[in-house]
Amino acid sequence: MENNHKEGKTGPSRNMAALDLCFILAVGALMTGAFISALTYDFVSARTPIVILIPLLIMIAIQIKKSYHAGGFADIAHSFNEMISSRNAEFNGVAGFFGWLLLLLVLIFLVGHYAGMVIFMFMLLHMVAEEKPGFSLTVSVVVTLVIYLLFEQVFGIALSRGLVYQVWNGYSIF
Amino acid sequence: MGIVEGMISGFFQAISLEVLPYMIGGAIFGFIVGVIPGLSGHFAMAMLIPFLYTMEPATGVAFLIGAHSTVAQGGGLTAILFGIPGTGTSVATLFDGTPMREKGETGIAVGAAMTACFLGALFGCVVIALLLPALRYIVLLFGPPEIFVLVLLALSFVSVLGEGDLFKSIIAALAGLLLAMVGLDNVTNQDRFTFGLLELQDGVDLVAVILGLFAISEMFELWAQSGSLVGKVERTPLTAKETQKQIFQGVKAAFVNWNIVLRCSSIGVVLGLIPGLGSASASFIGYAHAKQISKDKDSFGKGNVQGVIAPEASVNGVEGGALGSTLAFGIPGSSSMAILLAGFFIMGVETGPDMVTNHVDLVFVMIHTIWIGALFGMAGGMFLINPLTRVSAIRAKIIVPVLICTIVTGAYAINHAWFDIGVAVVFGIVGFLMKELGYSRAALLIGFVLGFVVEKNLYLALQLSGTYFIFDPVPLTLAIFTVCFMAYNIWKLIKEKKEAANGK
Repeated sequence: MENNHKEGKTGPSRNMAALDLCFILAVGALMTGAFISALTYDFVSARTPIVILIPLLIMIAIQIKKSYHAGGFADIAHSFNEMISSRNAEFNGVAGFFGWLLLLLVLIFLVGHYAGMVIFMFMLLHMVAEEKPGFSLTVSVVVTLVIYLLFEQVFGIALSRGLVYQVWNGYSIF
Repeated sequence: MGIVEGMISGFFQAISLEVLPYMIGGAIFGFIVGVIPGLSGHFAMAMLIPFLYTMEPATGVAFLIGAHSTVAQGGGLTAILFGIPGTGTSVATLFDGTPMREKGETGIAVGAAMTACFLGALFGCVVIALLLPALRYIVLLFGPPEIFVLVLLALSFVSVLGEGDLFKSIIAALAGLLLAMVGLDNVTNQDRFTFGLLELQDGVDLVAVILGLFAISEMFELWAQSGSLVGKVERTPLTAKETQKQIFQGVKAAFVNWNIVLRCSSIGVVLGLIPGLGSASASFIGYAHAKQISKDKDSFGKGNVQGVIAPEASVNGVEGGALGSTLAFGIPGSSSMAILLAGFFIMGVETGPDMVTNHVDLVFVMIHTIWIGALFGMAGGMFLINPLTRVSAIRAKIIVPVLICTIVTGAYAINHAWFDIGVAVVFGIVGFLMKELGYSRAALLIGFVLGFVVEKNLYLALQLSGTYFIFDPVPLTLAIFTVCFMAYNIWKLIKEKKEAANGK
């Protein structure tokens, strides 16, 4: 039966069905936790969340059933295999971008917004977009300068100077 | 403050040196975002939200609405020039915009589209200004019980009429409502869903959620694209002089077809008043209506200028209507209006009776911003075609690093907190998954924004009218309508499924 409804399904659609099921299961787990948590609150505080959570959990259960019939757990295993064997190009792209995003956060944390952004943009433009070093550096510096002028000079919003700068200036509470 | 007094004061505030530069800056930004395929109106507004903390209300709303008012024009320009809609609302413009370009009438299509956009926006502004006295009266009839049920009705509209699966939209809207419950309960001071995190005691930051859902999630998608955003960039074979000559012919065509402009703008205004329908539906309905009333139906889809005028006028007419329900009842009909409402929260501006009675000047700053912004968009679209369209030729892998740095900086700038960047990134991933899997991000955001309103008004309704407040005449009518509306749509869904199953 399960194999029947998957007949003719292409790889990407199987992956989407599996992703849909994983996503709704994760949301369902989170909401179940929220429901249990809400039961411990005062009546006034718990009233609105419980009124929202009951139909929400019913809807999620219906959606899990729909997603299961559209794909099923076998698709999750198939998609997971594709992911770990790096055959899923879209997943690789998204995961790669997430990695770059984390790198940006680490850079900003360590060397601050300005230096972090210049390094991040230069790396991406030069290494991934394969632009010339001169162009990559110019774009990185100009964009960072615009962000500095916009945030600090026009709107008076001070940005992070980073851990290195703070330590250099005697900051020792971590 | 009276209506006329507010209108004059609003106009002078809108063109003052404190406001106008921000409005123009927002309009230019919105136009550029509109030109870039893959980026939408809510992206433009989300990017500007972090700057509102330091702004006065009039400046802030002009900045936000200025950006929003030109996005559709930028999207229309890309649709005509490259055959790719810059935004989701420009799809209907493709039907006749592309054939006109192929016939060598690019300038006429651009001129007509830009003018129709402006006239649609202007019409929407006039209607909302005329409706304001009535809104001031109607809004006073709505107390906490009525507002509570009205919010539920609006959410059901957003879930049913929005794009995508009904169940998924309802899940998103309810999850959004629940998200608003995170943090200290204002009444009992109890921690709710904070998991012991101090950072969550004030709730999940609205701006970080907006940046995640509508800015970072778009970056994931753009990153997956390779090459230029519009593929092969076809330059118009016309000379600059010929193009400008055609543009003025297009402007004339928009005025000659005033009947279409007026009808389609009216459709836009009415659809704008209904939460959930949005600009995309308006553009298709406007197009279909223009085709229906045309004497030359067969020429539609083959390069009829009316086919460009109709969707563009409808899309911009929506703004006036959508602004009306957002300002009067604090109920946003679309993700863009929800972001605008979030902007009001940030600037300490309260919607509802207070807004339409005591801050009429601010209401008119918004109304004037819509048409002045559209006027700038029209001028920009007509005279800066070539430089603006070059933006679309930029590769995604160049534009994403630049935008992501700005977004992350914006998320940090809200409270100078790393936690907010984390929230933005988490919601970026959630937003990307929602978009990929067909869950409505607009429903989630509208639910989140309205969550505060729901809880506050439920509490007040119970205090003021007791447990049976729902049986008061207006709440009861609205509740019956909501239940009937949902029941009908669920019944329709089940019937369609059964028919589909029998058809197999």
